[in-house]
Amino acid sequence: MMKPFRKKELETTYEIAPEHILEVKDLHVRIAVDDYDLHAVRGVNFSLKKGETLGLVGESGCGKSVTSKEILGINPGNCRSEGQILYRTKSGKVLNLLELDRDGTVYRAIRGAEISMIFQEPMTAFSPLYTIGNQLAEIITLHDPKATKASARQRVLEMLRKVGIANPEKRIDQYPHEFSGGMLQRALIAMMLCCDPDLLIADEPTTALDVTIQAQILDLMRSLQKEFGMSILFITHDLGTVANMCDNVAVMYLGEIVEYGTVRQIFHNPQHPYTRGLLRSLPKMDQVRDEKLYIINGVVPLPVGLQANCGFHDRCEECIAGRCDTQEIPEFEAEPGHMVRCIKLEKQEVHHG
Amino acid sequence: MDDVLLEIRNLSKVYEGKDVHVKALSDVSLTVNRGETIGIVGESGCGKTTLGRCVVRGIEATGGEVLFHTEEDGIVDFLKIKGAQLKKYRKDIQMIFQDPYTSLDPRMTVFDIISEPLRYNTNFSNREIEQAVDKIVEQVGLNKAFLRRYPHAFSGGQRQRIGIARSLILQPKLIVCDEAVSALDVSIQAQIINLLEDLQREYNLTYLFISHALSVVRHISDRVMVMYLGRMVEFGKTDDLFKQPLHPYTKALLSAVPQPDPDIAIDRIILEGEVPNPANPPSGCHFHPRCIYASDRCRREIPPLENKDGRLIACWNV
Repeated sequence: MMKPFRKKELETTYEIAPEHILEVKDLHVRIAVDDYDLHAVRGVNFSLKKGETLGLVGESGCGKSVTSKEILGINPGNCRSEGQILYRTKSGKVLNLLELDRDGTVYRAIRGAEISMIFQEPMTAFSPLYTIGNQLAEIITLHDPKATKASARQRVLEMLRKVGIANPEKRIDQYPHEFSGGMLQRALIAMMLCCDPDLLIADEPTTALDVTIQAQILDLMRSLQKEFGMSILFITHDLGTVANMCDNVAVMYLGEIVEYGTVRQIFHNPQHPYTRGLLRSLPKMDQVRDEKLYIINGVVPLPVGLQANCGFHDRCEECIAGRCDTQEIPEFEAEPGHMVRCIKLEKQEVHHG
Repeated sequence: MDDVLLEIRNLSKVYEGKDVHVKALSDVSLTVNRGETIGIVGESGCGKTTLGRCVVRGIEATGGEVLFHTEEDGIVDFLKIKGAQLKKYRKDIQMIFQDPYTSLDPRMTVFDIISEPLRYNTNFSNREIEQAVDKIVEQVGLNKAFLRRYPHAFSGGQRQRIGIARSLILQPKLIVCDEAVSALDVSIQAQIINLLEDLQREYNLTYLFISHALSVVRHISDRVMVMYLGRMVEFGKTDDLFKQPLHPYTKALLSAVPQPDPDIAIDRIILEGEVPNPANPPSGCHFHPRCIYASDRCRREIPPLENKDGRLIACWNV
């Protein structure tokens, strides 16, 4: 089996800001598919504080899932990455995850125990062949060699109770098909809690669920975050969920973060035309019925052979010909902490100056 | 011609198993006017898809009537007609499906997919078929040059346009949209919703819009029906129902929708538990185990649908 060989001596030491747990620096991911070379992630930078929830939003194909999987080192073998993913382990050491051997002991000790992930489809995240208790206990015994069968079972029971599964003594010995979608998502959250991770990556955790169950799960995640103090990277395309869950938001388009800010900056004062378009195209609960929905024309292009320009220029109403389509767009700061990758803001600066 | 297009009366669907007996749909009645959009909302397992499928006769209902008001034959029970008459009126009721990836045959070209209904239902010559396809393709915003391609070459939004073109080609009167925009990205979703509304105005189409996305339903529907465990619990004009939901289930459902604004503080009613197993539904009002207002009467007796100022509601406490 061919695998990208990443082993480097771990001599370089890295530093990240003391309050940060994760810093992603200039991350690029290229995926080799047939004759194409998809440039799925193009120079992404972000950081995550302890206890913070960062929302990574965007439509399908914007690179949000590829970015998050790169943190865990679980992208398939046809992906090549560059840049740095700096992570502070529980022992306090800062590692560049991209330098680690993906199958090595260091990464395996981090994956699951320190950085954990919950997925969109709880129905496919579990194996149908083993009981829920069996699959949860496996995580505990894998990461804690001292754990016995009995102690692991006790911990699983405790976690199932914590995520609000009624009658855990009976549920622990049931198979995934005996659980409903909402219950399975709770079980998946319990699985992730078993190792008390510092960082949780939640990839569309409620997209497959009904709204009433979604409200339950989001509520549960919020209270568990308060209790365990973990950081959450929340990946979703649902702007409503983001507004309710996140402290900060990064809006991705075509492999780039086009806007980054606090949840209030993004929702009350969006600057990038793409962010504005997304928010305007949402049907609102309090909207007059006869109003037409705003439309972003066109579709997300395939990330192949991309030029150094604004990826959104061909769908943008405010595109400036000769600039947006030909030149690389740097980041501008709209307000402190509010970053926008749009040339319009450069003009603003000139006006004010 | 009257304003009414369709009357659904006491529509029921029971699935019989070896020793289970699942009432997926119990006694749903609904009058649909020409040119309007009825939104049907509820959680998974509430029977909204069963309702849509029974109306198009994708599955056969076990009870009730679907009275179709026609120009030529007066009122026809769509569930009872057979043979040539069924074929004649099937054309008038079409469906748009949720998943644009599985609802199109991967081995047919887009032209064949869109024109297939014409080949079965009309005596059009090849020339006429081509003209009809060209017209509809332009209307749904697809590029004519790509008609000889296969579905895999299209994006999700484009595929949904193909599905819409196919459902429109026979010039139906009623279209059942079963989660027609749920699988699409936000920006594409807005494109398809606007397209559906434009087409409705142009052809005076009537939609049964089945969806769990409440904000979409709010936007597109004239009237909304809320279902719970196979029963209608509330039905009314969209604006009234969303502004002032009366049934406790509707209230909880609406408050659970996350709003795209971090400062909207709503008193979220978080329902305990889940939708019960329809094979063994709770006694009385099906919603009582999750309802904060449940009384003894709710546990014993099924609340009837009552008309309160034009709103239909099934609750003992309203």
